[in-house]
Amino acid sequence: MPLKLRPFLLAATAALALTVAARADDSAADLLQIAEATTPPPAVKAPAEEPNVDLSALRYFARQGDTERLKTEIARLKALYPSWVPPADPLTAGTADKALDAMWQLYGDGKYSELRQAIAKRQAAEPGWQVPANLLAQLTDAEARQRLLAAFGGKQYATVVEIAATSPGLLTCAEPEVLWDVAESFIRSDRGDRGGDVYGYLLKNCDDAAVRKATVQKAAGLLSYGAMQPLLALERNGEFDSLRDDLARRYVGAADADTSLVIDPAYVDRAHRLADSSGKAEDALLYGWYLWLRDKSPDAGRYFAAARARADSASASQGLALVRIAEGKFLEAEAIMYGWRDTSADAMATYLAATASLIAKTPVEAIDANVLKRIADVVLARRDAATAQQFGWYARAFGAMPLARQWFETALTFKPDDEPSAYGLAVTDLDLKDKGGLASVQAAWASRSPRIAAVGHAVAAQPPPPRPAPLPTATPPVAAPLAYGPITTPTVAPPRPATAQTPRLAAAAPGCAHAAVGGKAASALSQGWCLMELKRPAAAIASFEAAAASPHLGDRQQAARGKALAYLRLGLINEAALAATGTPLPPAQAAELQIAILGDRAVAAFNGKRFRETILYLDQRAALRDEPVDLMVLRGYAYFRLGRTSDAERIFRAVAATGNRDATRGLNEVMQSAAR
Amino acid sequence: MKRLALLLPLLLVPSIALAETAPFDMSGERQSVTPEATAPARPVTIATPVETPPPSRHYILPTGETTLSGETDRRVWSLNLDAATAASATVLSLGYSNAVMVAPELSTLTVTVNDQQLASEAIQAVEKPATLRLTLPPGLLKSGPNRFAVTAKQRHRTDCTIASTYELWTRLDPATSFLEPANGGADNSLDAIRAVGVDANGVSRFTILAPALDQPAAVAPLLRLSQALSLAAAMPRQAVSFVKDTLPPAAPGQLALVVGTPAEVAALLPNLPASSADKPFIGLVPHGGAMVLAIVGPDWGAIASLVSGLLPASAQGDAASLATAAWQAPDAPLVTGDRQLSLAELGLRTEEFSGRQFHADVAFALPGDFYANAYGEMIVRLDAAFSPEVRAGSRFNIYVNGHIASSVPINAVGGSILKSLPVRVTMRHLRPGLNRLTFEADLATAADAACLPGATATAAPRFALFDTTSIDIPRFARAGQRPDLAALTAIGYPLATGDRPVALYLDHIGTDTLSAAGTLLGKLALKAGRPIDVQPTTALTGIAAGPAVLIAAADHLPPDVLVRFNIAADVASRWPSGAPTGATTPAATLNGWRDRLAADNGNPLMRAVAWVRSNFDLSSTGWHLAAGVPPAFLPDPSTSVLAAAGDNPAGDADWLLVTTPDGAHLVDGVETLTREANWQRLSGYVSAYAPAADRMDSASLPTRFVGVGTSGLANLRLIAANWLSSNLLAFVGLVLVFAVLLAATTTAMHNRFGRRD
Repeated sequence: MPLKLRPFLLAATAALALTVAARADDSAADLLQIAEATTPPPAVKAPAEEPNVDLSALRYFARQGDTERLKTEIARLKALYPSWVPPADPLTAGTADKALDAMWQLYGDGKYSELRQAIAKRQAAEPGWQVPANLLAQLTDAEARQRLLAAFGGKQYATVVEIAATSPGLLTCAEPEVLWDVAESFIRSDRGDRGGDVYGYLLKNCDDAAVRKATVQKAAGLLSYGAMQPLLALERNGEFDSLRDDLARRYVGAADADTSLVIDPAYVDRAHRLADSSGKAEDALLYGWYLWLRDKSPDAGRYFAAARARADSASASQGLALVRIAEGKFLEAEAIMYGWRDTSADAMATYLAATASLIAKTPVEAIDANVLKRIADVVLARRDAATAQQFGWYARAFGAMPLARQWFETALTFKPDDEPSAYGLAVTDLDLKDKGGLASVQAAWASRSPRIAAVGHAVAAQPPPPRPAPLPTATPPVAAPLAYGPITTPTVAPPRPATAQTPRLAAAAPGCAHAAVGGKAASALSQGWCLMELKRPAAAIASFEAAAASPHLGDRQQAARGKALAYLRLGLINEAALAATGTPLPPAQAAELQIAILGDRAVAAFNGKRFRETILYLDQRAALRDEPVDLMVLRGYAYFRLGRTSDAERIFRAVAATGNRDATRGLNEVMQSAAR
Repeated sequence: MKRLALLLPLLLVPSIALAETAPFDMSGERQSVTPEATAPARPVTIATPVETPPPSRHYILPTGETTLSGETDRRVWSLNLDAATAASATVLSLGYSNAVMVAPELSTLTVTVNDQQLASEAIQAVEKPATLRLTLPPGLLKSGPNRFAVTAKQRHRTDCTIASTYELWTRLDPATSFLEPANGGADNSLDAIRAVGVDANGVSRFTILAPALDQPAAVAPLLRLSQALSLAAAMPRQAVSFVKDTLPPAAPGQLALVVGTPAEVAALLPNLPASSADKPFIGLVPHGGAMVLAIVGPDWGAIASLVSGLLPASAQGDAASLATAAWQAPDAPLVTGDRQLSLAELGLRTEEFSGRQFHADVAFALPGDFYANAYGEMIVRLDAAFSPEVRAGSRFNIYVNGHIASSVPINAVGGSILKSLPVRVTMRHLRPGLNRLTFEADLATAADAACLPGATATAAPRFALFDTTSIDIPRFARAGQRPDLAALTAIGYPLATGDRPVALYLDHIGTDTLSAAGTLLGKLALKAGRPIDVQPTTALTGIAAGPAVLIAAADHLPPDVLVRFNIAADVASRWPSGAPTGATTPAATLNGWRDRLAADNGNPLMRAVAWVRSNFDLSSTGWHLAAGVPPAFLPDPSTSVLAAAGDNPAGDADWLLVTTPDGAHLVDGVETLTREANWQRLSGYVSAYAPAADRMDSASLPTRFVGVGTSGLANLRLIAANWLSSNLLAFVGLVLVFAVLLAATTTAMHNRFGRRD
């Protein structure tokens, strides 16, 4: 019954055709032999154009081990396609899916949309065809990658995170760029901890040395010092050594920016070494700032100077200027900063701090007129009240009262609520006997400042008026100028009023001009003493210097004494001492000068907090003459500051017994400190 | 194996290495991401085989998976399309796969639509299915029936034997074979029913939403509606589903209907024309985004007359043919005797053939009271030609329903032309309903014997079968028999004769029983070519008087009913309820083996008996004078549905029973049974279907004649001839009786007239 047999046979052949598993039995060897036997010698190569031969049956027969049919099929195909060369291994022959290969090619070329189209096209043509899972997965990932990178490029960090969250296939060591972008997106959308997790994942799981290094570099650029430490702990075998220099620079820099940040001393050491050895200005600068900002180390100046020497920069100059200011070398600081003053607000603040300190410096250094001029230009241009005020005091110190008044007024126009300027104006008005001006200042300020209200009412013997410290205008702390008046010829003036730009000494010294009528030296001497009377010691110095050229010893002695006294009056003790020794003086006069110089030196040393020196000067002075009460009080304080409380107490007690208030206050302080 | 074992560790190593590092975990972020945001990131779904096809697909394969086998095979069917679909479909998609033995260089798949060839493509879809996408010329498809034909010409790659041709097959994939009309939808009710189409599995489904379906007045019209739908669509796998509240979403191969009075359906169909409130309305109305067929009448009587209007004209009188065109064109002509049919009439064309085994099928139908299988012969007048290549030893065979019925040796040397060569073909394997005649030529040639490489490539024709070949069917005896499941189901005889109303027993009225009944009655009506006038009842007492169809789960059938069908009374408890997917039990397999071995290696006496039987064409059944009643039928546990024919207690009417182990599988079971392939296999008095094994278990009972007395004397003679042929003992007895009578009369004559010497 053949017809009844047919379904059975159909089912059987169907089952055979659907059998996929290869029968890897001994017949495989036979098959290969057959294939070899039927393969022509390699010399006969297949022509370039390969006929589209259907090899499915060949594979099927090979799998079944049906050598007879395999041979027949090869023979048949060779008859059909004379140029066809039978495959060496019929089991795998022709299984290549050319369309699929083309798809992989598209994938390889990054033509994802074309690949999508190709897949859709093929699915429409072959409904049963399934995209290979790996191709689909890789395509999906590649598209996600594309979108992710695009989103990252467009700074859409939330989108980056979204895409990444749905594409776990991208979040592996094979895609470090994606992970880096995801990490950065996290960090930029304020989820730094997750960003750190991503970097941590890379460092924990990925082995590519370059990727690991790049990860640390990227993380270091985005994460804080604290967040980086766990990541750096994932180092394997010192692989990040080459990055340490950069990390040291980075973290010392971070510590510079945030002085509350405590970093591993190893980084500081490394930065130190770099600053010393690398020859790079930046390294010296970083370390210099670290030193400066951390503990105001004077070493900082060395590094700033080195940095300037290697490559001058605003930062280096600023640092060095700050160091110089701290050292009291204001002129140097001014010179350093002058060229950089316009690079930043900070630089300007530093410059102005330097100028204010320079002009306010006690004792006064002789300042070059050009320097003063340029400072004044900057002050006027920047409307810096602090330096303008100091200019005022500076002018007062030279007795150039109208000029001082101009500067104080200028300072007040820069900063109308600047009480010290107003006070300066008030006392200058008083000195100029400008009652109207004083009254108007007092009217404006009396309610706010008792001392302005008191100007002119108190005992007349108040000069020189206490001079306030310039306001701390610079961000970096600037050494406060000392409390005594400035010296040096003010050669500059604020633009208002327009006249008297540079007041000449003679013209500015009314009342002494007549003294110049006599002999040259004698007239100079008398003019000097006159100027001394007028409390213009700086001008007097010039007169005494003129008189010092006198052929008469008496005149020269007089001039030397006057000059020394003038310097003393200006607080320039060293110059006073020098002037006093320039010409031999009569012993009485020399002793008197020496006593004055030593007293001033003691006061200067005390103000400079050099208490031992203070005691030394006082002891020297006491050898020449008995100590007055005020110097005894000074000595008491010096002892007290040196910790010699019993000596201090003894002196305060003795002086307080005379009713001296300062001594009583000092005694109280000593008692209180002893009680503590 | 060794080689594989060696390779295995190598394969494993990289996979372990890869598995070591999980990707960076971002599940936390994933949860926080809103679903809208994830949507674009999700990969585009590319390969989803279970994807719901767009409703615009119009599947074309009416029988589901269709296999074309052998060196030449052909499927012709008629596809009903509505005008919009026919006008807008521009591409025909045809998916297939084939056996590896099919040589792609020599084999072609030819597709024709309305006799215009669309493609003739090499068959090469061995390792993965291929899809032909064929452009339909404008105007080729037309509204109404369209003739589709797929012809496979297949040649073996390596072998030249006839046996090797059984390895050749091409399987058409129903899910990837479809038209894609840009727009579809019928514009009138009848077109909508005819163009219902099939889904991807070859099922045509009518879903009827009737809110009042459990009202007694509604049941009969609804069941008549399901028959009318079946007759109009005439598809091979039709299923009727009744629902009460909501329709399923629109899908290919499905027609939705809403039936009821305006009050019942007003809420469902707000777009009904206003006139339907008092006048009957039938037509397509929109519902839930698709068109549904609404049948609305003021009362159920009006609805019933609307339903009658849906019946095709052919269903009014006696059918001249059996409707098969939807899956096997043309319709099979109904032969009532003494008729000559040419192959051209049966849809076969003259065909030349160059392979080794030719075969071609034709189909015709026989009435339900066909009774000539024991003695009759039909004659095939063969017009054919053989080339000189064809050697002696070749044969021309004719099969009837898969059984060989005639075999003509071809011994001519040098080729021959056969002109009206009469070939006698036994009618033993014919049966009521659809019959299939297969012509097969086994051609032996020297070239095939040598079978050099590429021998199968020869294109020179070796054989031709002309369509002038005719089949002479003589006048045959007509006598209805009872119980005969084949006649009952294959052509609805005698239930659908229309002279008596048929009672329909359902154990209750519900969507499940009505769906089962609608599907079954639809099938019966389609086979009968006319609707069956049923009177639904839920009481067994009402059905005893006349013919009846019983549809119920086995546990709802009382033993006295089961006895009428010679089915074990305790079937409900012994037929395991539950899964209809049960496989055959080991015991059954063992019994099968025992039987087979006994047949092959029985004792010498048995073998001698078998030899006599086979050589003298005798069967044991013919030797009974009065065959005993076989034991009551108990369905195998693996079967899921059972059909049985019986008679009523009075013995004057047929009963048809369809039952399943339990009520839950009633609808499934009936749908399985009514599949064309299964339906044609019903035979005997009872048949049970095992789906897992695709097996039909049948049992026979001695039959009794029905309504013989009314036919003419000539018919009686034919009946007698057939009866005596199948009851040899009776024949022998009758011969003896005649001999005795002859002897007696002769003796009497002699005694009376003869000389007494």
